[in-house]
Amino acid sequence: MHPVFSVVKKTCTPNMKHAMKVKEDHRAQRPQGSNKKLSVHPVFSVVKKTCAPNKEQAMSEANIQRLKNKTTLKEILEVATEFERTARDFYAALAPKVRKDIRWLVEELAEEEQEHYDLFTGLAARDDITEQLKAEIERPVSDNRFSDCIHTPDLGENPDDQAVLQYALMREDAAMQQYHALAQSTPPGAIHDLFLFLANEETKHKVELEKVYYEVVHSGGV
Amino acid sequence: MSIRDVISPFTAWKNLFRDPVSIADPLNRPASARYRGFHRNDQELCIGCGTCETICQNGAIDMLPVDGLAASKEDSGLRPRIDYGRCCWCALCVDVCMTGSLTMSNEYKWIESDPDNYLYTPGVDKKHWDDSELGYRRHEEKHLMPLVRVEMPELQPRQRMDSFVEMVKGYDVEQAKLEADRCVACGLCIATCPAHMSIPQYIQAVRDGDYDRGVQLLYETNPFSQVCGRVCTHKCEDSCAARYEGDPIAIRWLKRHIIDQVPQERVLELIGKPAAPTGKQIAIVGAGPAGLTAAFDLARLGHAVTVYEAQAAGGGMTRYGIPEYRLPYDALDRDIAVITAMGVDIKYNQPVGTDISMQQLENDNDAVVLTVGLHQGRSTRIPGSDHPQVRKAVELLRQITNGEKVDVPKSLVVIGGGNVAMDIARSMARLQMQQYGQINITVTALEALDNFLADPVEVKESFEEFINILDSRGPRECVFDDDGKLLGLKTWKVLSIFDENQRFAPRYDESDEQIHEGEMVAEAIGQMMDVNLLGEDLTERLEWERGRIRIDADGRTSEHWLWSGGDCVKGPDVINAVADGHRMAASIDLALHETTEDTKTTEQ
Repeated sequence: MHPVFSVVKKTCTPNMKHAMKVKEDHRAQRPQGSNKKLSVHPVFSVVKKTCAPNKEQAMSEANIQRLKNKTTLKEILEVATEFERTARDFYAALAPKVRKDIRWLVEELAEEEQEHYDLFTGLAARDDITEQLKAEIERPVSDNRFSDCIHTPDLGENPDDQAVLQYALMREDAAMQQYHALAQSTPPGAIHDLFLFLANEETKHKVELEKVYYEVVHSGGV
Repeated sequence: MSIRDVISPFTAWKNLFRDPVSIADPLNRPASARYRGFHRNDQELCIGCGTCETICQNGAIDMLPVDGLAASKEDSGLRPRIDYGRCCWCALCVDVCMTGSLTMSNEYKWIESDPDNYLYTPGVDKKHWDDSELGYRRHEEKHLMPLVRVEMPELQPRQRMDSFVEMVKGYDVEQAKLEADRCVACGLCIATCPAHMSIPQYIQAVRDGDYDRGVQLLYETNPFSQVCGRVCTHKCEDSCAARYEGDPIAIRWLKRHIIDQVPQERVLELIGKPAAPTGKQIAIVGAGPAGLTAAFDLARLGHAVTVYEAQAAGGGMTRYGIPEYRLPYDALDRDIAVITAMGVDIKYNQPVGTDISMQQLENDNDAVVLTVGLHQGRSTRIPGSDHPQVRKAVELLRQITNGEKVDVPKSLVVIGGGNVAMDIARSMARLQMQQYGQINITVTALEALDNFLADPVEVKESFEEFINILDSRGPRECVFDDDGKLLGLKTWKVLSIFDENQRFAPRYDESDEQIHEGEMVAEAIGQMMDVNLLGEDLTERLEWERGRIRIDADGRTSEHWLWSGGDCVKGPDVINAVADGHRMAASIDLALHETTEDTKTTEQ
């Protein structure tokens, strides 16, 4: 049975916390590309008849504070890497629980989180992190905003492929917004560049997931 | 006779030891501008149709393969080789050339010491006259074959807008013969057709007025000719040689013409009886084109076939998805009746997965075929899409087919740009006209009009029926009043949808936001298979490939007893489903024979 999405508060998945915000504030502060500044963390309210406000921020205040308190690039990358590991483990644990015909999707999501984990681990080990970050953030990826108005499902007992993809999109979007928010609140410098880099990586991932979403949902599924 | 007369023949021998002398260019006189000289063949335009070979009165042209040139759906991979020992340079080949690739230079001098070099493949064998501007070309307005298709009589928009009567009337005998006469029998269409129907041969049958032969040819490859003759995607017409300078041959309409001419009883006589019973039992899940084609073939081979169909009637999406104004139910019923006449037993209202399990089918049958189609509609899941008045298009179409009472909204928004979107829009438009006397339907799609997945004819006819189609609109949310009543759909303008790799990468103009009035929203964005009917155990045992059951080239799954084909593994297309049905039947028959041989060997 397809999960039914209602405009209500969603239950939390582990390590996530919901927050509320007015629709118009969110829209005005929405990043366009990696350089858009946010004055506050993007949080959403569940407001009837609206689009973006029905999305929920998938990042806890505690996690954001963890990042804000770090002062070196390696420390921040360690935390970011930990987030990727958590996400990877989440999908890896989910894979055997979903029906076999959609398991490929969850396994691919776990693989992509692993790739991010490897990327951040590799970056942290480099001596020239700063130069690498500068090169990356000079090529920001545009946020297509396709997934703006895709409802965030409660995955439930038996999610279908669309629900899994929506969930993954929500996570990537929330992570993207989180890093943008942190970049906005960080003065120019290496740490600011690192947050922009992380936001860019999450945007790339989100854009890739939107392509998969279109192929699965909008093209007959075959 | 003088001494000189006797000796002179012997004096000729003195020339035996002289070198031959050829004067290369004794006259140095150019030919006239339109002189019919040596041939040229533009390789960019040539499709290897062989019409030049057919028309050559001297048999001077042979179509031969060329090294490095591969055949494709629009190119036979062959090129004309001309024997200049036979050619009389009449230029009939140039006059009939279907693409205009074959022309003539005005060069008339070619000196060779090896006469075999005059077996010449123009365009492949490079010559100095290849780039010549002068020479003979067919006059632009002179064509040996008529370019324009015989027009198909259809109901005009005002006549059809409030009715589900079939809008395409079909060719009469005279019209069909005129259209069949345009065919040059190149055969490129055969390779393109997924079922490889004998198209030039059945067009010849129309030309000859031999409809019995036509029906026999149709049934060699397609037991759904009533259906395909009306709704096939006609990929054959996309490779028709006539389309380069005119209209492609109306292959689909000619197929329909043949099957419409022959009474049902005569069709059954022509097809003949099935073979003797083999004692093998096969179950087929789903009475759509793939399943019933497999059933037809297997029954004719003597196997006992039982088809389990969840709905009250057969045809699958050809009945429950395609509206009656395109495919009348009685036409479909005629196709199905021929199949059941072969002894196929169809059990209607017997959904597998509830009334009977796949496990039972595995236990009770020698082989099982899964052809369940894509009967579940996808949802955008945008905010508000869970409202009761936001419906799936495939469910609405099924209700209309079943004759159920449908809640006809005064205003409807359809999301999607494929054939299903057009089908629901046009069906609801007819119901609106019948109930309210006016139409208020808006179709919105992410894609630009040129990229709509729907057949262009469907889109054109939708416009004619006063359906408002808005392309490049991305659905954002459903809009409600304070009482929770659906008011319509909000969309944003889509600036572009695909990136340079043709992958989904939409860009929106958020300042261009519209709300489209609708008491109902119908989602027609995609479809999926009902996997639940397989049961958990079989779902886990089967191998899958990115959401589809993994099959081999013959349609066999990873379970040795189970085959699958049609929409559920290949995507929505009737003729592909028919082709899959044939492949699966052939594979099953071979597998059953191998099993029988193995059993006999073991017993011995």
